[in-house]
Amino acid sequence: MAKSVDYLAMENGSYIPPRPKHPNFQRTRSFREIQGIISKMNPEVVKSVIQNGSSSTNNKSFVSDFPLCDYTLRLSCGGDEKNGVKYSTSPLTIFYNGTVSVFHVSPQKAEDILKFGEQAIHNSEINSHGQQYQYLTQSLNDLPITRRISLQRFLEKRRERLIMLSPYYFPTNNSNFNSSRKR
Amino acid sequence: MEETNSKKKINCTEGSSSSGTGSSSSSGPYDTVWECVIPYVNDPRDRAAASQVCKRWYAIDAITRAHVTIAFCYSVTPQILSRRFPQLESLKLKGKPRAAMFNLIDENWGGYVAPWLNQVAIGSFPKMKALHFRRMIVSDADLETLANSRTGKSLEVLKLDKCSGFSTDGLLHIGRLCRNLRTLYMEESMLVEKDKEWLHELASNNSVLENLNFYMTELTQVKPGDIELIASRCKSLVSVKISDCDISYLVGFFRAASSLEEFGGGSFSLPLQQTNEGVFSDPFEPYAGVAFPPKLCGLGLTYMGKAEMPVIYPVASKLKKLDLLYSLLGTEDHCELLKRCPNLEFLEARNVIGDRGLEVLAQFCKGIKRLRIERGADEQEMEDVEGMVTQRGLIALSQNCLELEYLAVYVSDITNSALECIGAYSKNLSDFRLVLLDREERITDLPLDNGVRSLLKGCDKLRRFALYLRPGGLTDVGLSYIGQYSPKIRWMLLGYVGESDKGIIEFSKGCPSLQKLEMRGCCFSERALAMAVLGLTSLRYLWVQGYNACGDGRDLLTMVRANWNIELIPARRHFVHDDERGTLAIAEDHAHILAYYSLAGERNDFPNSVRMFDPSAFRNT
Repeated sequence: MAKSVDYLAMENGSYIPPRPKHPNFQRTRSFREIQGIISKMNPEVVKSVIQNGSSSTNNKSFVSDFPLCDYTLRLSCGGDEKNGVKYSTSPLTIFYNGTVSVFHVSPQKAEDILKFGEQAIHNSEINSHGQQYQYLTQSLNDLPITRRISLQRFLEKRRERLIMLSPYYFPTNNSNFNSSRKR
Repeated sequence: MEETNSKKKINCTEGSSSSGTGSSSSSGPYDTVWECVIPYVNDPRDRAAASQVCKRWYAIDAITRAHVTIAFCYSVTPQILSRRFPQLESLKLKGKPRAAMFNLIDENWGGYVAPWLNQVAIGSFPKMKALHFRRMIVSDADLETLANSRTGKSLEVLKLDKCSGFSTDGLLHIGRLCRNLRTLYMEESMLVEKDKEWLHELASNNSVLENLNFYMTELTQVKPGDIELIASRCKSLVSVKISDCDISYLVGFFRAASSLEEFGGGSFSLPLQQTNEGVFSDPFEPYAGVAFPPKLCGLGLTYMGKAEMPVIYPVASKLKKLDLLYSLLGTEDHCELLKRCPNLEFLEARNVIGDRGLEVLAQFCKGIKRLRIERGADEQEMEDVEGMVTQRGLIALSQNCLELEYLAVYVSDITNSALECIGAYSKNLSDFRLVLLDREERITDLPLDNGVRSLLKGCDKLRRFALYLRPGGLTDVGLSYIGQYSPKIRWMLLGYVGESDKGIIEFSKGCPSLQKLEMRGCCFSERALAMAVLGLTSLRYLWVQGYNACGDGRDLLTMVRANWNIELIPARRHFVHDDERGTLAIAEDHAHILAYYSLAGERNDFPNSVRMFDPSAFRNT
């Protein structure tokens, strides 16, 4: 289980976020690192995050979207605290500096937190030109050369064929390549 | 349309022959000549110019224009088209951005054929015979509407090219009712297979089919008997490209298809496993009886491996077109095969062909006109170790194959001298596309500024150009060269070029003919992009993904103008399941900008992931 970092200084009772140690929030610094971290997370936590996200959105793919530059955030959990009535909280998971933290907050709080985060990046980008480009190239490195769909499908099928050729393969009833021999 | 002075001066007799058109009597001998000439004027640019001479010529063009390609379906409405060209015989429409072919556009983005087919079905185009839809959404209901209309009865060509949204139910209507079809084309379309009846319907009702294509579709229930029936009933059958169907079952088909010139698809089964006695059966044996038709000159066989390759040898020397994209050949196999194809004009292969394969081409296939080299698998063990194309192969190719008109290649390494060589030798090149793969960390010779300049200066017939590099691949100076030396280029795809806003601004001062620009992974700000749009005088379509998006996008206001639609697909991040690693991963989709001229106003069929750019949102702030 990842250790918890008091990023928001919530324990102090105040909500002023501390200055980030690095001028750049390098959240896109390592795609693979983030992947590695997720795989170390408690799967139950991850699942609940996904379920909260997908329960009120219609899209086929998983979780709620985290718009990068759009300030109208959409967080699809529970309700809000209004008129003294406390609504349910949901987990907010934050990846920062190689650690993962999970907080249970109401949607409104979560929105505020994320807005703070966005603002911190925005301010630091204006301050540092050179680092802006660095952030940018790192960010653009997450734009891999995508493959043509037809070739992608062919390469996947070829992989399946190789698996079927292996000495340890046991054919099942729904093997595609046998069906091509059927009349 | 202005009347020309010369027309006003003419006082010709009313009765002058005007090819029996019975049209306005104030025309003269100039009109008669023009009416005789215009059937031979087919280039749309020439037609467009002619139609602006005067009202009369505009009218003649309007009623004689036979074919129109609408490069982006949202630039105009079906009603406008039917008013402008009511006698249209052939229509080609393109929908989704090209990026859709690379999985970058949501399925429900748009590009519906329904409004167009409805216009056709109500009889707005009484002479319509050929419909070609590319990257559009087609439903079964659309196909049913078409099949039941008067146009459907006389339709000769239907191409659903990389379309989606329909199933074999829709094809049933087509097969049953469109009995005049010469061409049914569905290559790479994503359709749902409900049963195999559609092919049988087509076979039973059609005797004039010339081209049948459902290559690279997921149709698995293909009965060889139905294909053979089509071959025996349709004596003019010239081109057949199908989905997976074992080649050994097509022996009867090949015998019946006596006029066949092109075949693609089929498949080769997995080699049989070791039998109990420990003897491997010969994988070629089931295919020894396959004999291709006598006129066959185009071939592409799916899952063809080294053992099955000899099936091509008897026809190799006649081949003009060869598709090895979906074969299972190594570098050496490519070399063996290509040596036997001296008449090859069009080759498609993955980069497993390697530099050695290109050297074989350079030696044996000097007449090659079109070469497309696609990206193979990334994993080392899945492709041949030699399976990389670099400057070595390109230099050999360009120096020896002087007929080259189309070259598209994914390279693992590149130098300026290779590009200079292409510029020096490939004088017939009209379409050049180069993608630098991102596997190798070090590239021999970057930036490519000088090579690109030499290539553009040397290949003066270039109309289409794509250059996809990496940071450092092309400086701002290099980007300005592209602007300076591309007088005739109409379409460009640029990836990871330039270093700063200066680059794109300089670029936009040139490219006088550039109509369609696609860019990816650029460091340009929204302000620079908007200014570049204003600088590119012929630009009518822009697509960008991955740019320096800072702020709320208000800098795009710079390019707001009449009839110019601006759509945004905001950036998103979402969790996806990474099948390869079996874990969760964050996928990052960078924002898109899509901007285009349109006479149709803003569209209203866009999904939630798309946002129309709204200038009024910035007015109060």
